Amino acid sequence: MEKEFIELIRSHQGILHKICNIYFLRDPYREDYYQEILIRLWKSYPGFKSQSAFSTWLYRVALNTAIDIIRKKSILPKHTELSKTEFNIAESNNSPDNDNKDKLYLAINLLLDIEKAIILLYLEDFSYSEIAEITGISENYAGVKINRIKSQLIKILNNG
Amino acid sequence: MDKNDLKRMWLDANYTKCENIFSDESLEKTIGLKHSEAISKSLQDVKLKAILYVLLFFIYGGLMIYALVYLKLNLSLRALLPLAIAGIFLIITATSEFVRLFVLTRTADNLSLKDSLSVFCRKLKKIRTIDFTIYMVLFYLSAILIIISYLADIGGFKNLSWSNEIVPLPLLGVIILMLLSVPWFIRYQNNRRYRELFSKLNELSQQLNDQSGAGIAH
Repeated sequence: MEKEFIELIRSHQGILHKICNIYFLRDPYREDYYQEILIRLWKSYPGFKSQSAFSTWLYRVALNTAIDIIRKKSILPKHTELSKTEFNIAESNNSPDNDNKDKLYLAINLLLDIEKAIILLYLEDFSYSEIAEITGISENYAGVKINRIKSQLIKILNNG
Repeated sequence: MDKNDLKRMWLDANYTKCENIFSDESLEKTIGLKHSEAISKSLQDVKLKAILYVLLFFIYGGLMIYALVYLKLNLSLRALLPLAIAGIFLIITATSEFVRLFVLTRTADNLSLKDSLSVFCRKLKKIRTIDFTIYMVLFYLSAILIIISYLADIGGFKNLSWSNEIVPLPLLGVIILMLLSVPWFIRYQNNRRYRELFSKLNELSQQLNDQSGAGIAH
């Protein structure tokens, strides 16, 4: 099972990158949270029943974990020590070059956690029914939300 | 900019961003962990606090057994009162920390985002309620014990007077009122502490439940 899981993760690693960039773009603990998502995916893997595509399941668990980390950060005691790697990540993320590349990511960062998930799934070409399945909202409402979020993003991007 | 440009921008943004962080070896190592380093450190702090309170309770329990059973000390109610309150406080604090740890480590990752959010909200409300209840029990019990001890000291209700030599009745009233109001003060503090989180959760919940103006818009 472990080999199968590693193989699947290796071929879907980009998804985890995107989720981490969306939720923890400038967070010095981004690498750590990436790991946490991976660990939680592994723990949830026995619950994956192949009824949906692996990527659908992966998005559901990874998005849940990312949002859960953000929620629990406000209850957990703060840890202040940063390793050298984490410090470097924080430094490099503030460079103007990255600012340009991350324009869309930065715009998405201004959205609410749930809106980030919905727009990510839309941008990743998920159907409304799949978005509804992952988020738990109705298909109709997913359509409405996507339209609203897109307009919001365009507004943010146009205003610089 | 057009709405359709978003997908193109997304593809461009991710073209250079999909570098591999993990090798097979590091993947294996990672999934063997319980939590990532940052999360572990934070959970460790909560665990340490919980264990510390349990240890203190055991030391307290041991000392009480030693004093009351082995040395057969015959302590008055007045002497036992603060000791009993200290014991109750240790049990309550340890329980509170374990509940917090339980809520922090439980997850509902396989559910939809909406269901997972409602599970988390329920758990968080449970922490708040337990916190409030245990402090209420502690301080209300303390108030009752103080009243019992006071009445025992003065020889019953019939000897109640405004100008008692040990503790004047108005002062006792103030102390009791303070003890009774502490849980409400803690509740107020907790509400302040969790206000931001709850307002975020409410906002998210509204985002997921708002069906107004629903209609398919591609």
